[in-house]
Amino acid sequence: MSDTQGSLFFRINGEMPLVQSVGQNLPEGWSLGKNSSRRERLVFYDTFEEEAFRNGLAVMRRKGTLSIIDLESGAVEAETPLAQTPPNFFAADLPEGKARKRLLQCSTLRAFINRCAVDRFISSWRILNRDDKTVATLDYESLHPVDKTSETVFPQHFSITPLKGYHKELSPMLMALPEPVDAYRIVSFKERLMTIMETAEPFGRGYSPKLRLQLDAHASIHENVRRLLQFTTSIMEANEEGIRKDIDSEFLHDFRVAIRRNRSILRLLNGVFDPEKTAWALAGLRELGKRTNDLRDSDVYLLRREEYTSLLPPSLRPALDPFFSDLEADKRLHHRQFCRYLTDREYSGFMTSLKEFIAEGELPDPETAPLAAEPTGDVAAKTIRKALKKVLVHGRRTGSETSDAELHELRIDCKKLRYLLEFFASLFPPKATAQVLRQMKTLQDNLGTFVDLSVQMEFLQSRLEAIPADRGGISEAAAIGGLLTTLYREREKVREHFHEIFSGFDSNETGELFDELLTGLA
Amino acid sequence: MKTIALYSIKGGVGKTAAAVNLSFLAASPTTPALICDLDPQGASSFYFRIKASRKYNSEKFLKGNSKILKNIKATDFENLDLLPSDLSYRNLDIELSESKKPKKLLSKNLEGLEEEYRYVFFDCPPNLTLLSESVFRASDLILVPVIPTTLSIRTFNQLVEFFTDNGLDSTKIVGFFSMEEKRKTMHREIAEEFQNHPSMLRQTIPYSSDVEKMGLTRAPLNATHPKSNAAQAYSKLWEEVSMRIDS
Ligand SMILES: Nc1ncnc2c1ncn2[C@@H]1O[C@H](COP(=O)(O)OP(=O)(O)O)[C@@H](O)[C@H]1O
Ligand SMILES: [Mg+2]
Repeated sequence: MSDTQGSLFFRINGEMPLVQSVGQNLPEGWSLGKNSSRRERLVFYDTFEEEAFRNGLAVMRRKGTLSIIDLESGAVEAETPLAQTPPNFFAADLPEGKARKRLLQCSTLRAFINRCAVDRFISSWRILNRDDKTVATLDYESLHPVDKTSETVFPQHFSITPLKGYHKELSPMLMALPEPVDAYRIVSFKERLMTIMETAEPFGRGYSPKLRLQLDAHASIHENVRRLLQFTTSIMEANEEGIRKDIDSEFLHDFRVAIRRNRSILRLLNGVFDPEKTAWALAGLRELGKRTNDLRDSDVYLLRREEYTSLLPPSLRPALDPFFSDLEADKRLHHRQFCRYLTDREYSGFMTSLKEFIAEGELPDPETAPLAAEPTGDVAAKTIRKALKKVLVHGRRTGSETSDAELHELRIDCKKLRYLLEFFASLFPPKATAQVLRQMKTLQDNLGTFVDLSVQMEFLQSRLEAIPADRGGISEAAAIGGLLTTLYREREKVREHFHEIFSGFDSNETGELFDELLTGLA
Repeated sequence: MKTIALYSIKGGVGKTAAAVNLSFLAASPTTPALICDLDPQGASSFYFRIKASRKYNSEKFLKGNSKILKNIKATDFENLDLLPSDLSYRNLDIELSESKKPKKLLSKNLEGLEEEYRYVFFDCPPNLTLLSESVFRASDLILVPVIPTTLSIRTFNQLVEFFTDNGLDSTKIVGFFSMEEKRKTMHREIAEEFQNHPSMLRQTIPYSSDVEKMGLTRAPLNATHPKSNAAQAYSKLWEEVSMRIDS
């Protein structure tokens, strides 16, 4: 449905006119040429987070070709053959070329999912002028869901495409539209695409894992924490289907982040609820998180395949094949196990209770939940100061050796501070939040990379210890050893930088930025 | 991009008929084609039912590129566009003589078409002027319809001489017999005599009332009656021409 340059699409306001009456209002001497009709199937792809759309693109398969279309102009930016209609694909799976490049710019991690498939029926007429010369084509388009059981009704369109050189003679062409001519409205490609998506309602439409809560500083913290928990819990649910279908690894990733955010906020703001209830929710979330660990590990290391391969000299590269094929097998197993859990009564029971707990709007007893009624702004300022202090104290205490344990702990402190900042972001001046987050970024990156490398090393070490002695065990051990050496060297470099980076963060400037952020709150 | 001029100093020999049918045959999705009507009488524009916009004139034509591109119109046939002529074209020669390099002007003005078209046809007016010289230089092939008469052969030879005398590449000139009437002895004899002449194509176009009727149908014969004798002859002629031009 990409637009031939210069096509004008019209949507009728109100009832559809009779298609048979096209051309009845044409000026004297003008006429309509023979009608032809055709059918084509259109399949629209995008990632779960609609990254193509956010980048101003539509991704559409039509007649064996995948087209990348500019939303504003409707013009095709790039094309690549796509023989089948896969339920989803990664940009990296496409053949080298502009289309692949454009989609990689939208997302490398997320799969492009078949978001909507429609059959498009087109009836065409030629609009002829007094000389019986074709000056434009008139198309009547109706879309129908591919799924015949669906009762979705898409809006219909007329479109007029002037031939080259005839764009200026539009007014008589418009008279070819059936009555009432003044009921039409010109619609853009973008609008048509958006209507299709709104009508088709693909699963998880409008999904974004970004926290964008608009909090009221004067409302009780109880109220606002519940809103956060509601949001993160809905994120968990929104990702279930993608996890089950194993579309890409980000579904599980977002699911896990939501669990972590829930846990972190519940723990950091522990006076907001009855501690008994909080303990129950925390235990359940912790258990759930644990059940995802193995699957996430398989995902993460499978994603590292290219990176690991490139770190090794070519002679050792094939030796990693058994490592990755074992990972693939593990992943299948863990996926099956976790999916079974997702459909289990234990899980649905927990989620139901969790949502009930969150939905409970009545303020808890101040005896057991002393914070509950406090104004959100006060709590925000207090908890953020406390979390910042913890980061600073722990950071300053970190010895010259910079032990693993110290860095691990500090990373968690930073993450907590970050979750709080993100949760309360709407209470602060927007610029100040962005500045604080930027100030924290270098430190967080340093700690994040350190822990990440440590975790990888641990994983590889455990593989090393379990390598079967037969089937090329020696070369695999060599390969893993090579990786460990590289990762170790990298990690130690990161460690060396810690003190310098931390003292950059532990500065007057940071203090001032946080003051600026929190003044006015409490 | 390959450029083919339909040219003859004589009128009424079948230039326009050939330009219309050959351009129709040349146009395909991989080889989009353009026909430039250079004759102020606008016969090829008429055959395609196209009129120039009111604002279009010879001045715009001489300005070239973007002005030309803007005035190109799609025909009713896929991948075939036309640049209509305008009555003001009758002054082209005077206007050309006022420009700096009149003989090279046309090739320069058509640079913008390079990307869009694989074949460009010029339907030329019947005279030998500055414009013709500009066309000669801009064309890869000058296709000359020759009615099989002694007089026409003479005119053809005069054209070849003109090329040699003016430092133009005479190997670009290729003739074909047009409006051939097999029942006329002279036609038969001349056609036979020149059968193997290196500047003449093998294929001839017969005299046919179907070609005349194009004036009524206002469409290429190859679009309306592809099976007719004359249409088949144009097809074979195009095969020969495209072989020459693409080799
Ligand atoms: N092969 C042909 N058989 C019969 N009539 C022809 C043939 N070719 C052209 N004509 C007719 O002769 C006249 C002049 O032809 P045209 O192609 O316009 O010549 P030119 O462009 O050289 O002046 C037109 O009326 C046309 O229909
Ligand atoms: Mg002519």
